Amino acid sequence: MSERQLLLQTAAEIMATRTEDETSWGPALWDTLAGLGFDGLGVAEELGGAGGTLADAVGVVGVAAANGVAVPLAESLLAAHVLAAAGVPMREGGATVAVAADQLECIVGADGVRVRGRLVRVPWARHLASVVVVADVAPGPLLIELGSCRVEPHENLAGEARDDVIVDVTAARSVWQDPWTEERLRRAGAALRVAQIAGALGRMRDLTVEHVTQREQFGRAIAGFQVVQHQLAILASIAAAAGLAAEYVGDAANDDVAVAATKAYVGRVCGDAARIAHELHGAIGFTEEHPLHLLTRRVWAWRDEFGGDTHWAAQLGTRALAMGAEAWDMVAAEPDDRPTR
Amino acid sequence: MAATKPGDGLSSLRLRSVQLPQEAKDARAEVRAFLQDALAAGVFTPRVDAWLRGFSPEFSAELGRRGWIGMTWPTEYGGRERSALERFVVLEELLIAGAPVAAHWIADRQSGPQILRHGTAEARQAILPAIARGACFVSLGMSEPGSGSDLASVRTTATPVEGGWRVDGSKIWTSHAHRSHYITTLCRTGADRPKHQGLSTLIVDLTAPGVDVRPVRLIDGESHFNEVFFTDVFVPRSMLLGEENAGWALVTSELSLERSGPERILSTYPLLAALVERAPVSAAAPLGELVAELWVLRRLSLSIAAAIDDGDDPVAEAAMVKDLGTAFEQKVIDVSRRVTGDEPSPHDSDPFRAMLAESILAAPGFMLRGGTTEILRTVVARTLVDTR
Repeated sequence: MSERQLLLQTAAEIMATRTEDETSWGPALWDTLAGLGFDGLGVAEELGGAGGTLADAVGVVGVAAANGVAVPLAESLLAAHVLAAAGVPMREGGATVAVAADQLECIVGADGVRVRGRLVRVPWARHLASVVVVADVAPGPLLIELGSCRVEPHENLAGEARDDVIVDVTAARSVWQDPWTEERLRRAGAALRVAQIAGALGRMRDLTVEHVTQREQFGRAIAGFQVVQHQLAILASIAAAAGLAAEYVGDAANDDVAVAATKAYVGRVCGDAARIAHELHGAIGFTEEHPLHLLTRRVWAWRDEFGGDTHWAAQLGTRALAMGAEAWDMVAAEPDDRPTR
Repeated sequence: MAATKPGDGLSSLRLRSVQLPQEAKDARAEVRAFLQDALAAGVFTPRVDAWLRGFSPEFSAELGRRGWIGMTWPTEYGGRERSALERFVVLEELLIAGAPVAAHWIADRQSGPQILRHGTAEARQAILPAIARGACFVSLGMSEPGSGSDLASVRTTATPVEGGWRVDGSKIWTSHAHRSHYITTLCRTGADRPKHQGLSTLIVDLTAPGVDVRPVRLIDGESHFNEVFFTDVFVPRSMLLGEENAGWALVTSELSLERSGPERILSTYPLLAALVERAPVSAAAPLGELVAELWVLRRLSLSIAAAIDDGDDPVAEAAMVKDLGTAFEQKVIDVSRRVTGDEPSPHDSDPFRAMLAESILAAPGFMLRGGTTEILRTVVARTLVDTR
């Protein structure tokens, strides 16, 4: 077993043996995971991270999604990576991320950056101590303490916190060695969402296999019916394609074409998979007591976060139109054949 | 889900991401330069579905000269001992260019590797170097008028005679049999054995006495399909593939190769290339959807090529590629219609409208050849649940 597999298996065991029943926020599990350093994968140890690679982080995020857990792992990892690029250590109490968008005003002064306005749908804001804001108007990431902001609660389809944060503070200047752009943060977030959706789809397939094997109607397991088998095959094909897409973004989370293509594709087809999973589970899968919704509701939410499938498809399409006859290069080129923008 | 066993959600996936080695990138540059020159010289006109419809012995011979047929085979059989990933890149460049590769396609993909692995020394010597030169073409003799998806029900018989067999029966949907040299023919050799256990594959010389090839015209007026009749056709013992009566295992063992290649995704790529040149800016999103899907499916195909090269036999994953890939080929047509509003026009001087027409008329075959979508889904389901 490789080091990566061992890590993923350890994570899976911790997540599967959790005891809390909370479906939209699991504080005890989060404490455990953060305590073990899962929120700092791929970040250097001198910055408070756990070492390892970005691909490790992407892998663990997929495992968390497969287990339907409600923890801010993807966002905390992102925040840690943005800070690490600027040479800033990880934060006590956890950090989330936000793309500034145009509802935020940033004025760079001598003593810091005056930040005023609204951050929209910030993941997990109410549960974490700080938010790392990437704004193209600022010369680097802005580290804002959430305790000094007003947090307006909202949620996504899975009940996960997606809060608006009303900011009126002066943020300290960080070192700003390798500042991230809004686009880069959106891209990295999309890459993590691809890994999460893939993890959830794989588990959706497994749960569905389990269900159609056990559920009997007309005197036999419903897996024996060809209409059921064929729906299952479509679900499994989508899960396999998404799983492979996640493998690729794990290695190329900063490659603009890889992320746009995988988020556009996986984001578009995951709804078909969720529809089939629910169809084959029958009414029981539509209840709160059945775990299926821990996967399907998240997938329905995640496909639209950090840019929906149409956003990324339009970006690819615009580029294809500009490339004309050379558009194939976008499909076939390896990430390292292309300069990253 | 507190009570369920831990899952990574990826447990049944054996595929891994693949990084192309430098040799594959070099191969791409080489084949691209060749294709650019060939296009400029008017050697061929790009067309859709050219791996089935673009039959050119001259072009195949040229590819053979350049080492792009049988390129992974041992040099003693005319191969170049190059990697499966180099081959993948060469194939995809030929496919996206819409180059006429149909003459040798089946021999390179399927019959050649099969003869290499299961053929007698005599058959290997006689056939493989000629295939690699682009001078020997092979048809697939599988389906019969009464046997399609239920392939094991074939009734063409091979009766033992002195030095070999005598073959009687017929095969249908055999592409290019009228201009190929051999047909690998699935026959019943053990009449008294159970359905799946009495089959053998014989390599039949299409010029042998008693072979009669008649064309079957398709809805687009093309007739690459044929019906092949065998009456008392003698096939020497040296033309048996594998063991006698073990033909079913042979047929199923090649399915991964047959179903997972880039041709299952790229049949309509030349239409997509033409669409990119004319689509309005407002079509960026639907166009990008196609690019995204192609990006992912191409890598699925590539990963399977790598897995097969590692000795795996990812039958279910290969079936998935064909199912997803042929749906994509169809989607290219749908988007092309939708975003341009152009009328398909067979043989039009405008290549887009001509290819749109050709694609629509060819499309019914995409989901049939190489196993229907319904068969593929059953194959996938069988790996997940007890389907009986």
